[in-house]
Amino acid sequence: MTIAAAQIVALSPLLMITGVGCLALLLDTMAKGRAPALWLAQLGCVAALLAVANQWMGSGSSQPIWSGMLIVDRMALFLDGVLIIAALATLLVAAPFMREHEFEHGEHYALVLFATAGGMTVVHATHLLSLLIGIETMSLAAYLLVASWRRQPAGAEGALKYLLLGAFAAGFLVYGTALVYGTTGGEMSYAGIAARAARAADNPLFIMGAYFLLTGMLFKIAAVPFHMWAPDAYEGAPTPVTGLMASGIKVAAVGGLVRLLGSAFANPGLALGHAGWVRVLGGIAFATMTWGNLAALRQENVKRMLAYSSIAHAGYLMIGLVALGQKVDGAQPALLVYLAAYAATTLGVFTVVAWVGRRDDERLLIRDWAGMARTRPAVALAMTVLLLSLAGVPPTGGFFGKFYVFRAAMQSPDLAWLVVAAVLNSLVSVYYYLRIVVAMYFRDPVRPWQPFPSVGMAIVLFVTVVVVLALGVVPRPVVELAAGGLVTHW
Amino acid sequence: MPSELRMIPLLPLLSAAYLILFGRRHSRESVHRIACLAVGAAFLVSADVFFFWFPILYQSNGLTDLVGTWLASGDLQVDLALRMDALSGLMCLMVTFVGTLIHIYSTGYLAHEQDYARFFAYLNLFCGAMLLLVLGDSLPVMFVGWEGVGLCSYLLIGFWYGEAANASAGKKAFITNRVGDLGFLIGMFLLFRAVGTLDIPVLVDTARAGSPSLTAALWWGQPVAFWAALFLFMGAVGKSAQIPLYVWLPDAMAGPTPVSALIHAATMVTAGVYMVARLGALYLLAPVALAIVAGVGALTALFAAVIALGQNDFKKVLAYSTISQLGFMFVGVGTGNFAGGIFHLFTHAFFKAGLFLCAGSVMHAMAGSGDITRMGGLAQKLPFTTWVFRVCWLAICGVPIFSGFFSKDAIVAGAFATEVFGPRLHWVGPTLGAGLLVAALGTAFYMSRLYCLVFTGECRADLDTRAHLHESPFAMVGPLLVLGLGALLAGVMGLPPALSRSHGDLIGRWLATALGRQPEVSRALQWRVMATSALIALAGIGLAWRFFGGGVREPARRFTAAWPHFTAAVRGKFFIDEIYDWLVVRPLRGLSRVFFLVVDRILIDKLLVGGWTVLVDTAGRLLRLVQVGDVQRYLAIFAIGLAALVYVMARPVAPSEVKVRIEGRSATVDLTEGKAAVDKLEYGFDFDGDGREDRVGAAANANWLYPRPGHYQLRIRIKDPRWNTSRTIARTIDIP
Amino acid sequence: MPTYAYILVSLALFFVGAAGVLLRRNVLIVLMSVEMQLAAGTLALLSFSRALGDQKGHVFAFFVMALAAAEAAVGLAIVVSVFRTRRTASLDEVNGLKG
Repeated sequence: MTIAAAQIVALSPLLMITGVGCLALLLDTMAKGRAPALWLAQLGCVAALLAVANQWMGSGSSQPIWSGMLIVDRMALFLDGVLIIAALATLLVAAPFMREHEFEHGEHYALVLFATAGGMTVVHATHLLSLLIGIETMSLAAYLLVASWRRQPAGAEGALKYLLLGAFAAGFLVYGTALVYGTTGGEMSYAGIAARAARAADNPLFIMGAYFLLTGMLFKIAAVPFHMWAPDAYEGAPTPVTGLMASGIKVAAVGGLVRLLGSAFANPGLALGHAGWVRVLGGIAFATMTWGNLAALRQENVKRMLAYSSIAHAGYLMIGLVALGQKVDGAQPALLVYLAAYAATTLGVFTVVAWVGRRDDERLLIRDWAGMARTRPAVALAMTVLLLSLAGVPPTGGFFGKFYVFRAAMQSPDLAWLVVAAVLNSLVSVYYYLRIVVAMYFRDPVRPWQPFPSVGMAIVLFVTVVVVLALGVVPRPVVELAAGGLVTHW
Repeated sequence: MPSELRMIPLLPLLSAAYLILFGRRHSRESVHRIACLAVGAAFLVSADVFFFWFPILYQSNGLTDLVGTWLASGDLQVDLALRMDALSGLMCLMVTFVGTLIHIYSTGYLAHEQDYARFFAYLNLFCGAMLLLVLGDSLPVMFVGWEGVGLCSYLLIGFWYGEAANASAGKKAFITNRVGDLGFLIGMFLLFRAVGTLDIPVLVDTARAGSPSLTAALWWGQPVAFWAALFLFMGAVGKSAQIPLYVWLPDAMAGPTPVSALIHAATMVTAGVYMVARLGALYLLAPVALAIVAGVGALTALFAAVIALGQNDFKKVLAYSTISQLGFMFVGVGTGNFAGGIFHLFTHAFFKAGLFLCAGSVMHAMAGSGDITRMGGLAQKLPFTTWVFRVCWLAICGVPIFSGFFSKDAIVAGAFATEVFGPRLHWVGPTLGAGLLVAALGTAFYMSRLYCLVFTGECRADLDTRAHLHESPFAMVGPLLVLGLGALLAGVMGLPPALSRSHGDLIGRWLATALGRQPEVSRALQWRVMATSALIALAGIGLAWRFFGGGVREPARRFTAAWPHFTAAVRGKFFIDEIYDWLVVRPLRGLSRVFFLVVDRILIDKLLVGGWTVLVDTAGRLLRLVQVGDVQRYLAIFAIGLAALVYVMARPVAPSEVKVRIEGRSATVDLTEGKAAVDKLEYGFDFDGDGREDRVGAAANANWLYPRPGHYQLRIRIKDPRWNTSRTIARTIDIP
Repeated sequence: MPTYAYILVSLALFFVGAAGVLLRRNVLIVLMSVEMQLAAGTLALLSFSRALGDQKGHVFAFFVMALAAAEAAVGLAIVVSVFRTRRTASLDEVNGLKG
């Protein structure tokens, strides 16, 4: 294995995020106060974004790195961009949030970067080893982030549940790798697995291994029935961390699944068992969105409701994965557009949730949001736009993400039922999103409310709302980026 | 091509954005000046474009303003383009004209309102979205407008959110509409899959050419065009408040009255009719879908008219009346008489907006109350309002000369004459026509009842209210007079050719290029329909006058109680009142109550709308119980889920096709075609049901010679030896 | 000994570990059971690697060991944090978040 300079450059965004994470950790122990680590982390994100842009402009072709451990291609760079922006937004929101609630740690910033680096590794991975490293880096950082609010008992509990289930899933991931490795005759790279899969598919151990692997990944996107951790961990985590989990971590896991299903198990003749993985994944997609939406209906806690909503969105995303498995043209760009829109919307929503709470008064119940439109009309309007985007009402990014994914799925006759179910589901979802809107606009305020002043939160909120609306009104640039092209217009 | 087309929706949208952001800083005068100017300017621009390009609009399929490529991915390209053709031009004029009037009216009606800027911002936003809907050149653009008007409707219904009922009415409207939107989306996807584009002109051309991509059978032997048309119609049913999704409209009356006039009578609710007319060519390809459209329309027209008979709230009567009139329009477009439907849409916009604004004026005078049993004799106090109401009332009743007469006749005559349903469904048209005539009788009756109870006789309000009765300010009366004039004269656009050969059916000829061929109505039929409907209108009015002229008339039975023999023997007149009462009024009142209570409140509210809610809600509660908080329970669900996954994959699937061929006593069973992709399976065939497998092996087919005729159980076991799993299928075989 | 015997042992180890995770109520033992699952994966990897004469399995096994160590460290930290607020290491009492 040779490490050429060109490969280092190609991988520079990932290396930068990792390196800056380590530096921030060091700086935090040496410098006074938390500000230096925060600034370093933010600068690192900006630099990494520039590096991504540089790579994007540089070459259009995909480039294997380190003997096929990783790959740098347009999809990976696109998702890198989304992940880094999510990290940056999380940093901007987390700092004032932690200051307000008095639990600011410098490691927090480093951990956000580590989780992001893990996620980037996942979307670049073309080998089971790099996949495992990426997934686990991301997860370990996430466990700690969930537990980081030490005064809050719910944080530790959520983290413990997340950890135990995550470790259980990791066990399956490792064992699945071992089985696939053994039954394919020593293959661990996706390309190698794809080449040997047809022959190995006769072996029950191979099929079991493949499903163990898929389960490990489906756990990360919170697909039913591997989703049980999500509501508890989302509720227990500090709100900015919840935002990161719902956006960055989910994006990375979906990216990893796209790679795994799109290359390792992409052989058209490979059914992976009698019913075929496409059909099974379709069933899981249906169960996921339905469960998420129904369970969200009765929630009183905003964070918990959004956790279930994010489960439902995992279901919609899986429709795109199934379409990908059916070899539908345009399924992959559609998924990427959905991911970008969903990440922006989620980050914005959790920013508002983080902003609403004050010290010792977190205001997480829907009724606490009553009358927000009177005291803070701009924030309420932003929240309304974001919720409409989650519900998929035009002209928002959420609508177009759904539109693209559903349209891709509609091209396969076997998936029409799934699209109908998804549209029905998004109809149900309108109900609980509207509950928040109704509380904000149509109820009298219960208690006086003033959000703490924060430029960071205002910036994140403004940018996400603009992005969500822009994606709804002029989605073309992002669609072109997702399709792997350079933006030619505007 | 004129790029000022984009100004039409943009002006109100910009004004809305400005008012939302900075409205609070402005005085009331500047707020309503900005809002009214924006809509008024939009009207001027549309009038300018319309009249400047008049011949082009008429002859070709119109003007396009290409703003830019909106989205392009793979084979889908949607342009953000606006198109003004004969149809959308007309709609555009109507929306901006009525919109301007209602903006002006609102300045008077809401003069005491706190949230002045917010109201006008929403109203502007609505106009912008509606214009986008009307002018949109492709279905996605139209859909954005479609959702936009729904959102504004929701915001404006809940405008006075102080009362919980208003907020929940808004929510009901939004959610009911989303049910319809689901259909719109699916219809859109189906069209895209079939034709590969969502541009309306291309779709219409494809449909006119009868392209096989639309006529190919999709599901249950019906063509793609049928399913697409049906799903799109589902959207129309939601937006235009037809059975079974009409429930939101009566509740929507909780919003301010100008909103009811603009959104819930004149413009938004007609969007469904507009959409069907726009895609008329598609509907013409699917006569069954057309029959469904017309059938739903006729049923709604009748049903809502009957319910309106028993309502005692001013605005509720008008709401049901709107539902009923929308039904008329759907019969129009559903019988292929698109111009007729649009014509009625047009006249209705004038007289119904006028009626609602009169209602607003009356309620303004009555200190906000809309209870018609407490009104009466208002004609003297509110002279202008009364005159406008009279004109609009005669128009909706269909009295000759007034606009509603001509447009209603155009629909009824079209229904009798239509041939779009083909020979097998030829009876549909006349049946619908007859149904509409009955609905027209009901319309004349309930509207006259409303008129009598409100404006004639003695005032039944309490003294306090009576002392404060006053005519509304000029800002309110002015628009009323204009609308009244419109209600009187708009019929000129569609005089039946039988009346005026040279100036007859202007609107039909105007829309001919945009909408295609219309049913041919013979002159004799035109005369017959005109005569019948004039008679029906007068009969309805006369009947209502008998019961309610000058207030609820002294019930006849009191007379019969006092002088029973006298009455019975000498003055048969009261007898007739009794008979009327028993034969007509009571059954109608009863029926109206039954419809209202059983169908509206129980069947639709509770079961159709509420039933799902309960089901979904219960499911939500149950799922919450699964999330018990114990991490090991979660782990167990994880493990069980994974085990189930592996089990599903390990068990052979049932073959999609089992072929059994019987020749004499020999039976051949073949699974080869329907078997799963997985090889290396073992098949065991037990032909005679004795539990012993007669043929075992890797072959997926086998044959067997039965010793004697009879009835046999066939069992096929499919085994996957690698997992040691199996599945058994059973069939019965009859050997003759 | 043939390869399949090792694989059988590793499968058994894996499912014993899974059962431990599902059934034991003490957090520490649950964590140990997870480690056992990872160890089973390692064993399978090593025996396949050995049988196939391929080095990748060995390398992967090292990473799995590192992962197990990291997971244990983070796990114990979180257990300590839970213990501090609740004074117990039993999963019976960690059920504040639900619904």
